[in-house]
Order: sequence, then structure tokens, then C-alpha cells
Amino acid sequence: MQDFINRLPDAILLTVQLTLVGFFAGQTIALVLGSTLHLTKGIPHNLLRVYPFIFRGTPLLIQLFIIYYGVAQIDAVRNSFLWIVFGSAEGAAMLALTLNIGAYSSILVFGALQNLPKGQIEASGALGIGRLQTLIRIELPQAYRHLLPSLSNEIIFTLKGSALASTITIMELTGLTRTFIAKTYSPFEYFPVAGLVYLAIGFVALQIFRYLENKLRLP
Amino acid sequence: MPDYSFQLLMGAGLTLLLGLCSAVFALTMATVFLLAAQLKSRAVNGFIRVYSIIIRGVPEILVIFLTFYGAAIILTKINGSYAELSPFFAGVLALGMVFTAYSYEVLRGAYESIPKGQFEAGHTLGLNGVQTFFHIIFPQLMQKALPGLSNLWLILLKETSLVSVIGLEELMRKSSLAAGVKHDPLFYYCYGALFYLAITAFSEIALKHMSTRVNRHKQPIKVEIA
Repeated sequence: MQDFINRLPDAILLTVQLTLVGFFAGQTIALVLGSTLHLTKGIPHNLLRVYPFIFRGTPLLIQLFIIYYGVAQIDAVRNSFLWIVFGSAEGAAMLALTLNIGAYSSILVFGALQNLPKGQIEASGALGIGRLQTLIRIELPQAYRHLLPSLSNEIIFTLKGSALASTITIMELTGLTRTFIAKTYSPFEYFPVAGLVYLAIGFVALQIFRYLENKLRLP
Repeated sequence: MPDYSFQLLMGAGLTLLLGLCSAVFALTMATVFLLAAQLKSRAVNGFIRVYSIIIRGVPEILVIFLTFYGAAIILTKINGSYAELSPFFAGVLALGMVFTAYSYEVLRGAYESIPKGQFEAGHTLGLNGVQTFFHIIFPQLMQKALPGLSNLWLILLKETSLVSVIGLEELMRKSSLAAGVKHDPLFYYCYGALFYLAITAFSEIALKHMSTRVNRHKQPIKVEIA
């Protein structure tokens, strides 16, 4: 148990790191793709929807394995700078989490933008504000205010998704717990510790979002 | 057809079966929770709340491990010699417990949106509590809860892949095995992913049909004015 406690901080750090990178990189994709989906119509719009369709329709675990084990098969990737990401387990896990969360959140951002009253766009058009300016200054701030509660769900989802990194040899919280259970065969000692740490991280994340929600609420 | 196609198809069947069993388990437990919550007992409500917070905040993969290894320890103690739960039952139990918490939240939200008058009307008509629940409340509950439950089903289908880590040969594990044997992970994982896509796409169509059926009386009535 002492050995486990000693290695716990590094594992927690890795879990937090995976979660934060996955979440923020995913949100960047979501911001760009969600907005683009909102602005496009017809064939380009449908082509852009292929990415979220695939990543929301398949398990994160299989995406992780395609990125980590599958892509390594392609020589062109192995011989290029991309190998920095695909060659390391951490890089692959972060990329898989990013693409997964990016797909789910894009649809959320797109939905929030679509749900704003159409009159807002017309009003800003009448005031002579360009379409892109309207998006940045008028639509996105309102959309994100509505989105905050869903985004807090997304970060919990990312946190839980980061546990899958343990399947590709990463020693984050779940990986460490699994290793110690395999060694000692006493699940009831280690699982509660890991569970409590996950609950604590999730709690902190939710508090931050609650604070943001209150801060950004319209008076 | 690529090699191992039949194996993957069998895996997909097991994935679907695992999903269905877990969903039935979760829905039954969630309904029990919902009925138990009507007792208005402090202890029961406290238990449900704590259960819900813990199980929704912990990664599913951890719950699956705990169920599998935990059950092995308990069964071994009872049995005297080594015994373990089959990966399938461990999977149903673990996913079922997780989705009980999620579906309970969905059902509770739907239940609370049903007007009080419906219960009173049932009572006035001489129906007892159970009859009111099954004949009047339940159909409305399904209608309101269906969108939330549909989402959960799609999430559950994807989470079944996690049961592969305790050795159940469902779609994910079959893809891994084929990838290992053929030394072609890129192709076989993508092939497996295609099966998952097919299952989710098919589910979405089925759920859309269910939603039209549940909401059939909501369709606008056409009145012809002569």
C-alpha cells in the first residue's frame, strides 16, 4: 500500500494532464467545427458532419487502438514529424481523447448556435455587421453561456475517458490501480482510493464550472 | 469478405446481447429506485443520491474491474476454492449498475414532470396505486423519458467495448484478436469500428420509430372544414 501511495501523485498528475489536454484541445476543435457547421449548408455541411458521425458512433476504446496500434503501421507516419504524437502512448491517448471530445462538443456548439433566435442575426445584419463579426461578437458569447452546463458534463466525460489510457500501458490512475491489483489481488483496498480521487477531481472541475456559470450569468 | 468477418459478426451479436441485457437490468433497477423514492424515506433517498454521485463520477472501466475482481474474491470465499463470475455476467452487472444511476436520473426527471392531477384522477376513478402507475403514469413516463433513454442506449452500446478488458469476446475483443493474428491492427480495428457504426446507425433508426410510436397521439388532428 505504501508503494501505491508513493506512486499516486504521478498517476494523478497524468490523469489530470490527459483530461485537460483532451478537454481544451477538443473544445478548440468544437469551437471551429461547430461554428463552421453553423455557417455552411448543403454538401460542405454534410461532408463536415462525417467526422462527428464516425467519432460519436464508435467506442473511444476502438478509436484509441486505431490511433495507437493502427496508425503505427503506416510508414509515411512513422517517418514523419507526426510520429512524435502517434509514436508515444501518451500522445496517442491525448489525440484520441481530443478527437472524441471534439466530435461530441462540436455537435453541442452547433446545436447551441442553431437554437439562438434568428432575429439576432437579422438585427446585426440590419446594423451592417458582417456575418463573421456577428458570429464572434453576438452569437458565440450567447451560445457559450447556454453551453456551460453541458461543458461541465463533457469534462467529467473526458476525465472518465482518460481511464482508457490504461489499456495502452499508460500508468495513470486506473493503470496504476490495475497494476497493484494484479500484483496483490486485493481489489477492495485499491479501488476505493482510485474512486475517491476520481470523485475529488470531478468535484473540483464541477466547482470551477459552477463558479464560471455564476460569474457569466446575465444580471 | 475479409478473413474473420464471421468472428466479428458473432462479436457484434454478443455486443448487442450484452447491451440489451445491461439495459433491461438498468431499467428494472431504475424503476425500483423510482418506486422506492416514493416512500419518501430519508435513508432510501440518501442511499440513492450517494449511489448516483459515486457511480456517475467514477470511470466505467474501474467499475467493471471492481465487479469482476471483487466478485471473484467474494465467490472464492463462499466456494472455498477459486471461483469467478463469467465476464458476461460481470459485464451486465457492472454496466447495469452504472446505467441504473443514469436512467434513474432520466426517469426521475420525466416522473416529476407528470402533473399531480393524473394521480388524483386515477384515484378518483377507483384505481389503486399500482394500477394508476401502470395504466396511467407509465405510458406518459415512457413518452417523456424516451429521448433521454435513447441517448443512454447509444452511450451504453459504446461502453460495452470496455468489457473486453476482462476478456469477454465481444466485438472489441474479436477485433483485437483478429488484428493480432493477421498483424494488421489498422484494418481490423477500422473494420470493428464499422460494425459499431452500423449498430449505432441501426439503433438510431429503430429509436426514431419508437419515438413516433410513443408520440403517435400527439400528431396534429386534421380537421376538414367544408
